[in-house]
This record gives sequence, structure tokens and C-alpha cells, in this order.
Amino acid sequence: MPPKNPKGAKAKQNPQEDQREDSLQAVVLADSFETRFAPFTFDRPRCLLPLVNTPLIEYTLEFLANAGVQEVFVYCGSHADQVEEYINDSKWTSKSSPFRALKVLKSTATSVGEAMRNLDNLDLITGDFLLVSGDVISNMNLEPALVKHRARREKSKDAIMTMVLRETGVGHRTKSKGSRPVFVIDPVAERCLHYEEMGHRRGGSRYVSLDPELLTSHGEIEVRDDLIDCRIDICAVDVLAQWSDNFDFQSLRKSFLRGVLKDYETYGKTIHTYVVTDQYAARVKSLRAYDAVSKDVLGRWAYPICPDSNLVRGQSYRLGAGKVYKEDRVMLGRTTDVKRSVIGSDTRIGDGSTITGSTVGRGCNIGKNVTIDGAYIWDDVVVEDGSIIRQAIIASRSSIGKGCKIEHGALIMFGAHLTQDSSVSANSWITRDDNKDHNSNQDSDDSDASSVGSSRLIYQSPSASSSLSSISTLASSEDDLEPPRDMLRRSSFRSDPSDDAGENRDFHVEATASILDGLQKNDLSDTIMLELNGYRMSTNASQHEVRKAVVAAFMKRISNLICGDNASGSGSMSMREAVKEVFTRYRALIERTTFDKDAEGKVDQVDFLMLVQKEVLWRPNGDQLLLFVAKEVYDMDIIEEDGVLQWWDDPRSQEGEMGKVRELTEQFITFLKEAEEDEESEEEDDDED
Amino acid sequence: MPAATGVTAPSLTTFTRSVRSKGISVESSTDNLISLLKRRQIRGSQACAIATAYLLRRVVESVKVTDVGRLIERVQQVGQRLVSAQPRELAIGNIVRRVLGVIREEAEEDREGETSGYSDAGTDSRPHTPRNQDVRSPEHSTILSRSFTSSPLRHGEKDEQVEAPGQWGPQRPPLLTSHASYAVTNTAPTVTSMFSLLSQPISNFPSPTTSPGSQSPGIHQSLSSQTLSNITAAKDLKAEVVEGIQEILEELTQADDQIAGYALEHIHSNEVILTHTSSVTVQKFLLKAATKRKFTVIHAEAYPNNHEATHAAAVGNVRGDFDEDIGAEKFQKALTAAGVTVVLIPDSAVFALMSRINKVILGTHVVLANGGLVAAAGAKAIAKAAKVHATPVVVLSGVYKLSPVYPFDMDSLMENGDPSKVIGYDDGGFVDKVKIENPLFDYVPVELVNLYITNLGGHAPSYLHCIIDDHYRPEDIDLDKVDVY
Amino acid sequence: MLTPPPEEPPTTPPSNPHENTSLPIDITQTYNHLLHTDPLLTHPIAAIESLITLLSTSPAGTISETLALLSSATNTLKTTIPNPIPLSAGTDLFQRYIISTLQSRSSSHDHNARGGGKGKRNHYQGGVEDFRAIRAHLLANSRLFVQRAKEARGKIARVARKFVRDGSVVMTCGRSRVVAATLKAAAEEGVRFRVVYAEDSYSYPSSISAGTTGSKTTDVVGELRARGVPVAVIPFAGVATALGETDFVIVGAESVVENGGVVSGMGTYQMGLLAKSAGRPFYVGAESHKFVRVFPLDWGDLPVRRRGLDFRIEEKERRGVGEGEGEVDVDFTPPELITAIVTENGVQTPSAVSEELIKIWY
Repeated sequence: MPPKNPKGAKAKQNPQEDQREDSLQAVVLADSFETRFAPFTFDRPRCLLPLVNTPLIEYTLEFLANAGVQEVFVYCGSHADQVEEYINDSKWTSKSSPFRALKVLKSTATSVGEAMRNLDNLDLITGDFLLVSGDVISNMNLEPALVKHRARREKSKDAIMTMVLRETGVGHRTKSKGSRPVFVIDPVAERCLHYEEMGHRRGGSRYVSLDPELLTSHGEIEVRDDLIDCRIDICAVDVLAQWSDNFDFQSLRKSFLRGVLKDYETYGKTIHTYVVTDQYAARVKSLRAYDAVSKDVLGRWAYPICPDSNLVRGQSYRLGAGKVYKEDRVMLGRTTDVKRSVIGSDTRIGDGSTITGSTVGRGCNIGKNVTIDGAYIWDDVVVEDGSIIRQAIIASRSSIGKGCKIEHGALIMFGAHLTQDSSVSANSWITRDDNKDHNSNQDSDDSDASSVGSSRLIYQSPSASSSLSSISTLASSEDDLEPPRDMLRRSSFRSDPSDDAGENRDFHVEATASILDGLQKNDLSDTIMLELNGYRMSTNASQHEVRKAVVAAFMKRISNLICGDNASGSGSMSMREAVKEVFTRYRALIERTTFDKDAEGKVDQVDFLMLVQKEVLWRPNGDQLLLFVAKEVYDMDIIEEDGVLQWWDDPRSQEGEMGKVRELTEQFITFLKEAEEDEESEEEDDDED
Repeated sequence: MPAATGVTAPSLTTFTRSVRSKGISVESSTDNLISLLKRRQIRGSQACAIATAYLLRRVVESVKVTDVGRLIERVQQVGQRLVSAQPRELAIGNIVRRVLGVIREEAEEDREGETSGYSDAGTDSRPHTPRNQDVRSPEHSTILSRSFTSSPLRHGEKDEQVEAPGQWGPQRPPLLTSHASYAVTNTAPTVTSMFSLLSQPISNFPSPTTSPGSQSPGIHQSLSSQTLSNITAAKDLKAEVVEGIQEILEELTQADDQIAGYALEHIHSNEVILTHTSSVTVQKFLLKAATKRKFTVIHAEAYPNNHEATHAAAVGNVRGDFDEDIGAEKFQKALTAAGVTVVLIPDSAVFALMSRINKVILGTHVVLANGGLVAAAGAKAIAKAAKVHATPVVVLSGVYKLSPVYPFDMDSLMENGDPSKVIGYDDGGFVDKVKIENPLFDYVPVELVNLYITNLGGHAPSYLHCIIDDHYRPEDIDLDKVDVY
Repeated sequence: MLTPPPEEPPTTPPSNPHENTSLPIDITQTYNHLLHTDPLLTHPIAAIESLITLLSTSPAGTISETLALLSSATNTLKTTIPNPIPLSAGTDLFQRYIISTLQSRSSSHDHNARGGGKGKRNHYQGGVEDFRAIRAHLLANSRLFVQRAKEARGKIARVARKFVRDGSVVMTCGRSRVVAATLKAAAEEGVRFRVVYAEDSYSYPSSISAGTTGSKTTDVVGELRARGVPVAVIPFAGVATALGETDFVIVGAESVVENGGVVSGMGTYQMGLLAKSAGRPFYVGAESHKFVRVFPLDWGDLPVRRRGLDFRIEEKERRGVGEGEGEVDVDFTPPELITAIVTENGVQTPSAVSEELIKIWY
């Protein structure tokens, strides 16, 4: 940990001299380590996705510049090159940048925790710093918060962090509907005492459990769920040390905040809150928030962060009649009706088209008699005559044929093409896919099927199953996190294509979603199995595929339970607890998909473990997870010892990445092998925690 | 704490400090100001004007070539960028034009100096040039600027002279050096427009082979950068221009006090005065009057954008309307302390009270070429109510707020502010269902105003165009002509 | 250089009582011919052209002779043309130009004589030289003046076009070429606007814009429609009603008088009154060479041969086109109805007109 500047209050006298030390630093987490913006994030990092025609990160950097930050570190995970390229090209790295330094840090971190630990190692942070995610939009004046933070720091070195929270009423559009953070605050000391996330739906916790001592030791406490947590944290350097000291901290709130609060007795570190009541602050953390924040920006709530402030170099928006923000060189037809919208330059819109409450990017070409209502259309999109687009997101370079109908919540990916008269049902998404061999057999009307063939499209419509309504992006009130989408991401994009070849992808997508939904609803394993079997029959899927779906759903569920951050409802558990919980409850699901209990070669069991191994490859702390799962299935006798050992010896599980991820498990295997000899039972997992 | 002081949110103060430091390049100062303007960290006519003047002073200082054409070009470029950064702050453009005017004037004087240098030493005549009084005395500035605008014929001739360098000197037509020519030059500026029809080729008449192409440049461009670039300015041109900008800066800071100087002529004992917003200009004006007279001030609170400041002003704690943090004058003695009766009313009560009011005094954001003004929202309702009751409306405005821009598109001059001032953002249900608008400005048409008081004195609205003529060179009025990128 | 009219007019001196110098050409005919041959010419420019033609045919005399010649020609024109106001703008400008150029040049020589301390030329001599130079310049450049006058129209269009915003509804009347140029410029710019055109059901023959060679009123309408601008044609009786849907009114003018009022085609005054009462801006587009030094207080003061009210007790057929030659149908719109006057120098308030005029006269 870098030494802190010891000067304290005296430094105030000569600010000029110590400018170096005095500068406020900021860390922008450009990668959210989440998948809520999938599928867009396959091609572009989230922070570069346009919100009201401006990349998200611009808003964040603007906010930092506003706050007088001098040094910025942008921490990138996926697509780091794109972020770097963008930033190097922007005004922020130009000579006249308000920042004295702006560094892009690339890393392979897969969670906030890893990123923070990595940052600590890099030794870049020298004093108090702001920790924000790369999707914050705010016009907030941070000065009072900073002043308070510093005052506290002067009194006690243990006040390591101040969270800036925005007060809102109940049921606000930018608020997450999936989970509500609950802060227990001592209003006098402005100290956060307890933190919990509550879910709306079944399965989520509905109770806040307070340490009774809190009630006695504090004169006054507030339990608040009316705060928007924008993830704007003013941190002391010690925060990084905390992350480093606790290797199991993964997420900002669920593990870090809770961890620090829990350890208050031991270490005495305090975390404070600063509640803002005016001004604007929001985080574009999900597609739903994307919609809400876009509306806010259009409604000038984030003033002066408005389109017509033209904050990004080269923008030229002007606010005209009808609350339309237009850039230069926009060509509208004579009878085009545009209201409450933003239109980028070089876009042309044909006669008779109606555009309301929408954003249209640059260089778009919109034909005649097109209706666009509440949609977000990014750059270089072609929409041909007579199409109707409702609250959907159409990514850059895609094209929509004549007479298409795109319902609300639909997502059209980068570069996708829709042929004439297609219709896209609500909450589905369309992507350009280079694997030609997948066809949609679900819910796609004929026209779509034809478009699949002709334009190399894959049309996936998971909304067929009602359980998947949470895929809804804009209109759905369900959730911020769309777990099924995450699976889609893995199954259809992350997996090695050769591996997947010939698999019935749609089955996988559907089945996984349906299982997961069952898990989340705490359905009986029988019910889930029934549904699964029915589905398997109808699609003629193999047992391997069934297993694969089960594994995928289980893993997802486990990670939800752990990083409840993403809030599929329940509170956070340790990894071990989560694994145990899921497997105990639903062991039947596995047992009914493995049929080799009595056979000599435990093919199915090996297959199961192999699938688990493959699955955890992409997960944060996959190695730990694998260990826990292996132990758990063994302990519960779902997989026999032979199965485990056969899997371990299988060459497929030893190669490359696969080999790496199982390193931690080795001790368990060793233990097994020893146990075989010694017939001892042992508690091994203690060191793992 | 380490970071305790280094971090102050950027503002006019931080900008003026940074623009002066040599360590920061002009380019980054420009960009810095542009972002400050865009983020509205510098807002309000006075703050914008001051920032612009500081920046331009820096620009002028840093231009290496002492070539007038380049200098003008440079200032135009920077100016254009500033203007497009915040097109609603017309004061920026005003200052840019003023600075351009100073440069052109100095350049002309210099040439004057050079030619008259034939007969006597040019430099020591400089102190006599009345340029400096431009700021202070209206009469003088009128005469002066008229004279520098000069007649097109003369410019025409100058062109010719430049083209034929051999004829330099003796045959130069008189410009400012001869007081005898005042009679003629005085009438010149707008004759320009009418005579230009017939005039220009006369400059070419000694060479009858004039190609038709030479007719095209308008008279106003006769002092084009091309022409000017032929004349390398005297060494001290830069210093002169910087001094000129310094005077503009002084004017900017003194304007309010100068306006207040006219207070006693306009506010009489026992009058009832209605005002609106916490404009520093108006407050100073009223305070000045309060030194001698007892009167009543009815203060409309200007909800929702300015009511807090207005309330504070009522008890003598002016923080400025949009012009916060300029000057940082905590000069305030409350009006009440000065013996004035202050009544605070909601904006909605204005009409009801208007019949009892003797005079309405308004501050403004900007005054436009046609005499209309852009003022804090609510001003129009007040002016209109005053019209109905035939109550005189007096507008206080520094000359720097007087813009030669004609309001072709009113919408583009109006700014919509933060709706959360109207309804808090926390009211989720409301925010979702109702569109909330919070316009910051009103356009008050000229016919609702009876009198303007600037730092030059009181003017009828119809006279404003003369002041504009005096302060801005016609060739600078359209800043858009300059291609920047 | 302008080619003289093809048929050289017979040198019959017009029997004008004011005349004291005989004119070498028939100035009125030259004037009419010019207007006829170039439909884009404005009256003041035609007058200036006529005077230049006159100068070219008369031998160069002394300054005072020439000035006398010019003023007599001016008088002839003023008396023979039914509406002499527009042309007098041209003749006045021409005359003032010569005089003030002579003055300023002589003072410049004066100065140089002093400053350089050499060349003790006397004033008068310098004046004569200058006069010759001016005369030569005028003769050599008459085409240029015409062209400039036309360019002025383009400049006005470029300025006035900014009034036409996206989505606005513009009302106009008459055959003003300035207005037509403005609207066309806006249309070509891609501005989406609509036009309400008040048509004169009662066709006034020689009114509205000069030089219109019998073109139909709907010329503008046709041209705009050809550019895709929706135009509604309404009778004058419908102006008050249509104003409700109109954003602003823009009209042309024949002359702009000293107090900032305009002399324009019949109906303009009425439109101005209605616009005022409907609270709609009323813009006038006019080149600054149309400014003229007359100061009428109302229509009756206009020094034009106007058609009086034709009170009758017996029925009479309506007067057809071409009848009533020599009478003009113009009206006078007082300055208080005018929001702004757009000239090639920018947008001015009516009160600025007198200053412009004062500056060339004093």
C-alpha cells in the first residue's frame, strides 16, 4: 500500500506547491463485470454504448471533470482495446483535457474484486480517490461530499469510504426493480451500519436482519430503501488494502460493503454515506435503466448534461421546436413529424414518418411512413419505408427492411438485417450470426424463417416461454438482470463453436432458462424435471444436452446466490453455502440425468463434471466453484468417487484452460485418493474460505 | 488531508487563474473555457464576458507574428469556437467583436502612425488618440467609433494605395489625423451602405482595366485580413491591443457601478419600484438610490430558478442571479438597512400589484439588436403587466450585454433549465407521467421597454442600434463567416 | 456599359415648365425602356441608369453644368412618371454621390496638400479633375451598378431567409422579387415552411413591383410550388382570418421613406394593420437604394398620382386592366406597423432609415 500523505490539514495552506499530492484521483470501472447489456456487449464494451448518441463513458468522465478530478484511471475488462482507442481519440487525452492524467488500465480481471486488488498492486493511487463505474451520469456537485469525507478522515483514519447516494421517492423509473438496496444508516454520524439487498419476487429475501446491538449502540438509525445507489464512492487508499486483505471480496456492495461492515468489530473501519437530495445521479446499469436515463437526459434532468450542451467534440445539437434536438445536416421530409427526440447529423428521414420520444443516431437513413416510438436507434441504421418500431434498441449498422414491425423490448444487434415484412415480437433479439446451421424452430413466423435463410440471420425468440419474460429489456418490470440472457451469451457465443456443433442450441437456451426460472421460484425438482422432460421430448434433445442445460442453470443460480449484486432476488451467500443450497435441493435433477450409477465406466457422471468444469471457465472464481461443486456432489453422493476420479483422469479435463481451472480441486482429489487408502474423513474446505 | 484544497470545482475563478499562468498553453486554455461554458460552470453574461476577455488577452499575447491579419484571424477562430460552445451566451460574441474592433482600430492607427511618421514621430502621438476613452465617455466613443468606421470611399482608396506601394505616404487620404475631416467622416458609417452601390470601383479607376472580379468584395471587407497582412504592425501593436482588452475588462467590472451612477436620476422619493430576480446590477442601482432617497421596492421572487438568491438579496445577501461568483463582492448592505421598504411577492402577484407601482426595473441577460431583451423567465409577464398599466419599464444592462445579433430564431436563444427545480426528481410517479419544462429565459419584445440604462447612460430603445454601431465593426457582426475547422 | 435604347428617341425637348436645360435624350423613355428590357431592374436603378445614359450622351461640361443637366432630367422624370417616389431614391442617391465624392476628394487633396507640404493645387482645379474621374468611372461602370443592385437582393434573401424557420407559416402578398428570392432561398436550403399568399383579386395594373412585365401575380406561387413549398392562395379578404395560422408576414417595398414607413403595393398597409393587431411580426425586405427622402405622414401625403376614391351614383362597369394608366395603386404603411426592415446591410429598425438618409444628405 502506498504511503499516505502525512501532511494532514497543514497542506491546505499552500495548495499550489503540492498540486501533485493534492490532486483528486478517480478510478472508473469501465467494465461492469456483468452481462446485463448483453447481447450488445459482445461487440462493444458497455461504456462505449451510446446513450442519447453519446458514449456512456463520456458522461462519467464529464462528471469527474465537473468534480475537479485530476487523474483518472479507466479500468477495462472486456474490449479493453476499444475503450483505449476511444479514449485516446477523445478530448480527455488531448492537451486541453481537464485531467492531468488519464490512464487506461487493461486487465483480465473478471470481477470488481480482482480489479481492485490489481489496482492495489499497481500502486497508482496516492490519496483519496473516487471510485465510479463507467456508466454514471450525474450533474452532482461533489464538493460538499468531499469536504465531509475529508473532515471525517481527519478525525479518524478508519472512515475509509463515503458512498454518495441519491434520495428518491418510491417507485422511481431509474430504480432497479429487481432488487432494492436497503441501507441502514446512522443519520448523525452519516454512517452506514448495515446493507442488504431485497428482492421483489419470490425467493428474494424480504427481511433485513439487524444486529440488535445496532439498536442499542446508536441513538438513531434509519432504514432506507429510497436511495439510488449510483456507485459513486469516495474512497481512501485504505479501501484498496481492504480489498487486498480479503480475497473473497468480489463485488462492491455485496461483499465489500457487507464485509467491511461485518468486520467493524474487529477492524473498526467505517463506511459513510452522503445522501443527495437535489441534483441528478443515475447509473445505466441495465437496459431498463438505459431507457429511464435516456428519458431523463432528454427531459433535461441532468442539466447541464443535455444533448444541446454538445459535450463531446464534434457534436452540434440544437434544441428546436417540439423539443427536438437536431444536429447539423439533418434532413427531414416535408411531412415528417418529429417530437421530443434527438437526431444525429447526416440522418435523413422520409416523408410521412413519425418519430416520438426516440433517439436516432448519426448517418441513419429512415424511409417514408416509418413510425418510431420511444426507440433507440444508434448510428448508421437503415430503416426502410413503412416500418414500425416501438421501444426497441436498434444497434449500429443494422438495417430494417420495408414494412417490418418491431415490438417493444426488442433488441437488434450490430449489423443485423431484417428482410421485408419481418416482424420481431416483444422482448426478443436479433443478431447477426455466422453459424449458419442454426435455425429457429420456435415462434418465428414464416417471414422470419425466410429471412434466416436469405440473410444469414439467426432469429432467437426466447420469449416463447413465459418464464423468460424477464428477458424483456425496456418494458418489462421484472428485473434488471436477465439471467437467461447470460446463458445465451455463453452458450451461443462463448462456447467453442466446434464443441457446440450439432447441438440443439435452442433447446439449450430454452431449457436452461426454464430450469433457472424453476430454481428461482423454488419449484420442486419434480416440477422442473417434468417440464424439462416434456421439452426434451418435443425437441428430441440428448441426455447430454439436458445435463448441459441443468449444469448451466445450476451455475447461474449459484452465482446469483453469491453475487446477489445482480439481484436475482436473494441475499448473498458464501460460495459454499450457495453450492450446498442448490445441490441439496435439486440433487434429483442431476440424479435423474445420470444413469450410470451401477455401470463401471461412469460416462454420464464424467460428462456432468466435465460440463461443470467447462461452465466455470467463464465464471469469476471458477476454480473455487469447481472445487466446491466437486466436493458437494461427492459428499452428497450424487457422483461417486469413481466418477470423480475418472473425470479427473480424463484427458479432456486436463487441457489448457480446463487444466487451469481445476488446479484448486487437486487437493480435493488428493484427499480423495488418500481417503481411499486411509478411510478417513476430513474437513478440507476450511482453507478454502 | 492531502487532497483537501487542490480540488475545487472549476469556475470562473479557477479559469482566470489558470489562463494567466504561462504554463498552460493557449490552446488548452481555450478548450478549458469551452468545456467550462458547456458544463455551465461559467454562466451569466458578465462571467462569460470576463472569461472571454481574459482568454482573448492571452491569445493576443501569445500570437507570435505581429501581423495584424493573422492576429484578427486568430481571434476570430478562437471567438468562433467560444461562441459555438455556448451560443446562448451572447456576451461572448460581444466581447470577441469588441476585441476584433480594438485590433482593427489599433491597426488603422498604426498605419496612420506610419504614414504620419513621414512628417513627425508617430509614436508620441499615440497618447493623444482618444481610443481609451471609448469605455468611459459615451460622447467620445460615439465620435470615435464613427470616425474609425470611416467612409467606404476611403477604404477603397486605401486598397488602391496598398496595391501600388509606390504611392504610399503623401497621397494617403486623411483618416483620423485631421480634425478638419471630422465633419465628413462623422457622417460616414452608414453612408457606407447606401453609397456602396455606386462607390467602390472608384478605387480602381486609375487603372481602367479593372477586371469585373474586383468588384466583389464588399466595402466592409476592405480592411480584409489580406490587406492587413501586408502591413506588419508596429512592435507595440500587441501591447496596445492588450491594453485595449484590459480596458474592456475594466469596463466589465465597472459597468454595474457606472449604471448605478444613474440611479438618482431615475428613482425618486416615495416611489414604488418593482424588480425581479437578484440581479447584482439592479441591486447596486437600488442601493445607490437608497443612499439619498426613501422608496419602496417590491421584489418578485423569480421562482423556481432564482428565488433563493432573491430571498437572500432581500435581506442584503446578494449572490448574483446567474452571474454568481463574479467579483465576489460582498459589498452588501441590505436594502432594508439602507432604509428602503422591501416587499417580497410571488411572481403570480405581479399583475395585481402593478397598478400601485411607479416603475419597473429589470436586469437582463442580453439585449438584442432590435432592442428586445432576453431576461430571466418571468420578465415578460412583468413587462406585459406594466404595459397594461402604463407603468414605465426600465432595463439595466451593461453595454457588454448589448449584442448586434438579430433574434431570427428566438427558440435557439432560450435555454431550458433543470426541471428538478420545478418538481423534485424524487417524485418518481410525477416524473414519469408529466413532462416538466423549466425555461430560464424570457424574450421581452422591445415595445414593452421604455428605457434602457447602460453604463453610458439612459437610451430610448430605438436608439440602441446607434450604440451597437458605435461598439461593433460591421465586418465583425457576423462571426459565423469565419471558417474554423 | 449599357447600350443605348435601340430607337434613338426624337430629340423633342419635353415640354416641361421646370426645364431650363434641354436634354439630349428623352429621359422618360429611356427610363421606361430600361425597365421594360430588364424585368429584374428596380426603379431607382433604372433612374440611375437613365442618368448615366444621359451623361454619356451629353458632352462633359463643367461641374455646375452637369449638375444642372442632371437635376433637370430628374425633374422631368419625376413629373412624367406617375409614381416618382422609387425613382427619386435613385436620382437623389446619384446626385448626392457626385456631390459628396467631390467634397470629400477635395478635402482629401486639401489635406494632402497640407500634410505633404507640396503640390499647392487649388481646390477648384482638383475638383475638376476629380469630377472628370468620377464621370469616367460612372460611365464605365453602369453595368456594375445594376449588377450590384441585383446582388443586394441576394444579400437580403440570405439575411431574411433566417426568419423562415422550420415549420413556420409565412404570409406575403405582391410580386416583390426580394420576397420571392428570400422564400426561394429558404426552400433551397431545405427549410420546411408553408406560404400563405394573399392574391389581389382586383388586379392593379402598374402597381406593386416595378418592372414586372405583365407577369401574373401567381408567379411566386408557381415558383415556390415547383420547389415543393406548399402555398395557400387566399383573397385579400381572408388575410385577417389566415393570420391566425401565420407565424409572420414578409413583404417587399417600392420605397422606404424617411420615417421608416414603406410605399408598397396596395394591400400592404392593410396587411400591416392586421398583422399588428394579430401580434404577428411584419417584415419588409428592401434594398437600401430604395430609401428615399420623403416624409409622408399618411397616404395622402404621397407625391404620387393616385387613384382617388371613385364615388358614383350610377352603376359603372368595373375598370379593367390597363385602364387608369398614369395612376398608381400604392399605399403607405407607417413605421409603427413594421417590425423590421431587411436590407442588404442587415436587419434594421424603421427608425434607422432616417439616419441612413441623414448621413448622405448632411
